[in-house]
Amino acid sequence: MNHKQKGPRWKELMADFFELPREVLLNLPRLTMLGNQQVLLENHRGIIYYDSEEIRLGIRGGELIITGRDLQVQKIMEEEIYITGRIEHLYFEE
Amino acid sequence: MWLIKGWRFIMSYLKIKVEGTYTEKFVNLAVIRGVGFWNLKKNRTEATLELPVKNLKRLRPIARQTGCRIKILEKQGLLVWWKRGRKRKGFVLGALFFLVSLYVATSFVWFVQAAGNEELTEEEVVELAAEAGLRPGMYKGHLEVDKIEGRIARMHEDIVWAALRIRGTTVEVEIVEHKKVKEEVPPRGVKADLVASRDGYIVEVLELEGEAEVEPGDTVSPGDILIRGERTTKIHDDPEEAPEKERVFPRGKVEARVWYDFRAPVQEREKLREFTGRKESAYYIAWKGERRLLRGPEESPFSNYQKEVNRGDWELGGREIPLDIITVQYREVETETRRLSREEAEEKAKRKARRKASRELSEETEVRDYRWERIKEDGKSYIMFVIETIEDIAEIRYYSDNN
Repeated sequence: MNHKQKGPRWKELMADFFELPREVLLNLPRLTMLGNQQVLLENHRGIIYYDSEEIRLGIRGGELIITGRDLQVQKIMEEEIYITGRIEHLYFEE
Repeated sequence: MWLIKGWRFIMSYLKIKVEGTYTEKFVNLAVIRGVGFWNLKKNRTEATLELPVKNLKRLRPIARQTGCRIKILEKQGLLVWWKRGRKRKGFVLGALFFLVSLYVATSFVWFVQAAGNEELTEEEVVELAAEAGLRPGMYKGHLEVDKIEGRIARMHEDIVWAALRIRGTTVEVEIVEHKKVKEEVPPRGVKADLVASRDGYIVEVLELEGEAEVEPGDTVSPGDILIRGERTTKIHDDPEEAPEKERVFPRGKVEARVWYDFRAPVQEREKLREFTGRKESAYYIAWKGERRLLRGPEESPFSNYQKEVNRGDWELGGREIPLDIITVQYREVETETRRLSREEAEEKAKRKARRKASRELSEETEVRDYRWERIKEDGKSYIMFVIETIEDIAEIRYYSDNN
């Protein structure tokens, strides 16, 4: 456990030091939003729940929750999830 | 986006229904194993999703693992059609035959066209091309473009250069013809000089034949000799003796700064003609040039008027009919004199002068500079538009032996 917590911090330092993109080294999700209409999430860990009003997506160390109306998972691939609809809230849960 | 959609369509996709309590689990497991989905929709216990046809096989074990049931709702795409098509052989064969024949048809030359020909006719060029090995009906793959181009250019002495341009089933033969320079051949024994055609300030002298009499910086008047039609053949040692010369036909270019002026009177009184709106019409009937009043006044009812005459000039089968109806309209005109301010009058004169200039100068005239001048003559004032141009003022002048 101890070791596991140490890892990311060391990597974080490395990422900062070498100016490397954090999502690559730290396994962080990368979010791209187009207004309130589209969300592209890269580096995800699957869908936890989805319907047209709420989508919960697994990310490293927690969940990304998107709520809104007419939400739809347009595409799900190993690396990315693409969601469209009218997004109202978007938040992280540890 | 259409690219992705197009690819999806070609590779074909399935719409499936997944029933079960943990459809998310099913989706995640599939994604981890590399099976992606599109358009996920869900209501309560069943989800519909789309996926590439080729991934279907891999879903069965995942469904079993997560306790879900899969049902195929629809199949769409080219691959699916292809498979279906095996059952409808006739149709597919027909479509294929069509595509193949279209492909075959477009790989032949159907038309040969000429371009860039001026002296040569289209037929001549096409005929030449045929001789060089380019005929309608040829297979495009057998076209030796470089060789044919070279052959066409060599075959006809008036063709300098040829190029083939393939546009679908049409081959365009573009050629460039020899420009036959029409050189002015001077009549033998005639004596001539190049003289100035107008006043000017010489800027550049280029003598091709003959001896220049002027140099840049000189001012010349019309008739002044610019390039004399002579050539020195021998200069004697004794400076007293005139050098020997022989006559040549002078050729050259003498560029000079030339001024044109266009003047327009400054009129402070302006006459305006305006229609009052009152008009009267008279109608005549005419038979073989003789006319008789039908209706309306014989003479204009107004003292100031504008007359408009309309003739029918009817024709029947290309022949004039002698019968005609002539309409004469008299429109009353009122003239009014208006006083203009000095500026307005000058502005008007400027416009007039400018119009005159654009009417009289050719469009190619290269205007170097221009200025406005106010002049007075016989108590009248004028506006002068002075335009400076540079042009060749050399003009040939022949003269007889006696001079």
